[in-house]
Amino acid sequence: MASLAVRNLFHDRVRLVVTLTGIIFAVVLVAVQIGLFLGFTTTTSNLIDHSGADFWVVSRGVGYLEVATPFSEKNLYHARATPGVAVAEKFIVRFSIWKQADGSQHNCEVVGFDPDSSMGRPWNVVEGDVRSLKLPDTVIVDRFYQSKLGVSRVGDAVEIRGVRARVVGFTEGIRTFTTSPLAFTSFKSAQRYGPVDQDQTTFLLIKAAPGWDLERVRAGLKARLTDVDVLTTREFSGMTTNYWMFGTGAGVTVILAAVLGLLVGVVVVAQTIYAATIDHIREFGTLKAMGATNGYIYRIILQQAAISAAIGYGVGIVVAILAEHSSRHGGANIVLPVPVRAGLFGLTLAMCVSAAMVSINKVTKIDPAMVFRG
Amino acid sequence: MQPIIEVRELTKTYAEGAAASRALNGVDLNIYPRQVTLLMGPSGSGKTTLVSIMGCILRPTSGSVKLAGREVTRLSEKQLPAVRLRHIGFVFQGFNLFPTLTAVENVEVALELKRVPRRERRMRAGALLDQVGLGDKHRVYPADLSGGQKQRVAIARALAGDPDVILADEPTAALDKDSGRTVLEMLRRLAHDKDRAVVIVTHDSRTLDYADRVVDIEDGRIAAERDTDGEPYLVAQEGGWK
Ligand SMILES: Nc1ncnc2c1ncn2[C@@H]1O[C@H](COP(=O)(O)OP(=O)(O)OP(=O)(O)O)[C@@H](O)[C@H]1O
Ligand SMILES: [Mg+2]
Repeated sequence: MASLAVRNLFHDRVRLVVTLTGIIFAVVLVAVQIGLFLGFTTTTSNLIDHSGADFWVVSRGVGYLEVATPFSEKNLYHARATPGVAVAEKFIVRFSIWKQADGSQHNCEVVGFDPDSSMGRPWNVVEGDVRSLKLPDTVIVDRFYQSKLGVSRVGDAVEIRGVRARVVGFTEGIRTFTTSPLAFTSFKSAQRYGPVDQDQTTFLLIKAAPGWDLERVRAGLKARLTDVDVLTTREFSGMTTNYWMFGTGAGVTVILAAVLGLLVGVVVVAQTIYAATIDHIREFGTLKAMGATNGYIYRIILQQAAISAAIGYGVGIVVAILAEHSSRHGGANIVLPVPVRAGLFGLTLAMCVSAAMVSINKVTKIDPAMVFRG
Repeated sequence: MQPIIEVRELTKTYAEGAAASRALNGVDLNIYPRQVTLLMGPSGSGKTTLVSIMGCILRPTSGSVKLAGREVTRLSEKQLPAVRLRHIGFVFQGFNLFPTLTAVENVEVALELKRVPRRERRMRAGALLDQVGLGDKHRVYPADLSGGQKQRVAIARALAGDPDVILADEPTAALDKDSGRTVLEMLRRLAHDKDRAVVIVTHDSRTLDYADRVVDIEDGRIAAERDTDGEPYLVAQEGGWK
């Protein structure tokens, strides 16, 4: 059976190429769309996910990271006095205006944190040192945005909302969904770049003491703090991602494209497998006359679908991974972790098998006239 | 002699209602081992229909078919493949070889269906091809074989299942005279030397030379049975003439 399935599959090269093209097309399209989706979701929330905090305290009703409004820093002292709180720090995220030395301007997102704290720091610092941010009017930005920001090396000077700023380091791979580059700076500098009033902050980052039940800590915080929401990092991350992906429709577009890719794949593959089955229908009839069960014939068809799936996936995923690699330096961020790649193989297999199902009912009946035809 | 197939009061009506056409209309027939039985009759008389029902690839409308003593008309769709596998070998006018497999692989498919272990298949398939005189064509694809050679591969494939009955529908219609003779001679030897029941559907009167018995079908009925000398055929049934 193996040989009949394989031989028939490879016999008609043109059809095989059409089938494989359909599968590869679908795999690449779905992989890239899923990769974009994951890329978007990680970028929308990566500042939150890398914060190292257990809780984010935000102004009441704030739906996502970028709309935070300032609240009184009195809450900081109440938070520090709450049982189960190990560390509480102020944290600022605020849109601002970046002005290059040549006068051209660009939006940026100022991120103000305490350089002595372990929370809210930049990650993947590839040049310079986070401790340099203790000096006033210093920033760390990402290499990806350096040309956009008009800086190329440590020491370059710019202005943020009219206040001078000196670049003291670079990160790599920290992108933003809003396309406004992040400028990491000390909390104090951020208050001026923001600007945020002296006794105000836009967030509190809170770390619970080891062994404390997080819900108990949260209840304690809620009881003490005023006019704020206390969210777990995971909740706030999800809310922010949700807003950008579904509140704005960006995610829906990407998911729709992925579903479309899958449908096109199923249709193309179903069409070619069906045509191949019809072409070989007399052979299937002969097999049944020889005493083959329906199961035997299903296995041939499914085997062909599985082989096509494996080849198509193999080529498709390589193309998708190449796209992932080149996206590191390009406009869109494609992320394809191993579990997604594995899941995609399952999806490809399911796509091909369900496409094959269409032709399976064709072979359950043999027409004697067909096998006896001269 | 015990018949291997007993057909009683068999009818077959294709389609239903106004379009209904009765292809078989009360057929009684026994098929015996060690005999070549010819089914002859005009086009549309029901020969292929009868062979299909005897081979368990078509269900009759009514009547009974006993194959090796077992009533097969009431078997389920799931049970029939095993019956065909065990008892029936088909030989077709159009050969129906698998074009992407070599001669020896075509025969191996039948052995695989029979669940012969992989190691043995190649050897036994080769031996079967040798038997039909194709010892030098094992690795040749059907497209590169002559019609007669293709039909011999088909016979080897039918024999691979070691069936009691070989049902051949117009096996020589697509062959030239000599190849036709070779194939018929082969089928006759199968009946006489290997105790198979061989049923051949044919239009070709030259086939008479190779037959033991002729059954004439007309309009879905058995019109006459005779031995090849033209004598009415003696059927060992309730000890009388039929
Ligand atoms: N699948 C079918 N549907 C409807 N009618 C059919 C079908 N198969 C055969 N028939 C009809 O049944 C009758 C017997 O057909 P069958 O094929 O058994 O004849 P035959 O003796 O084999 O003819 P031939 O010598 O031309 O092969 C014919 O009238 C034919 O038209
Ligand atoms: Mg016929």
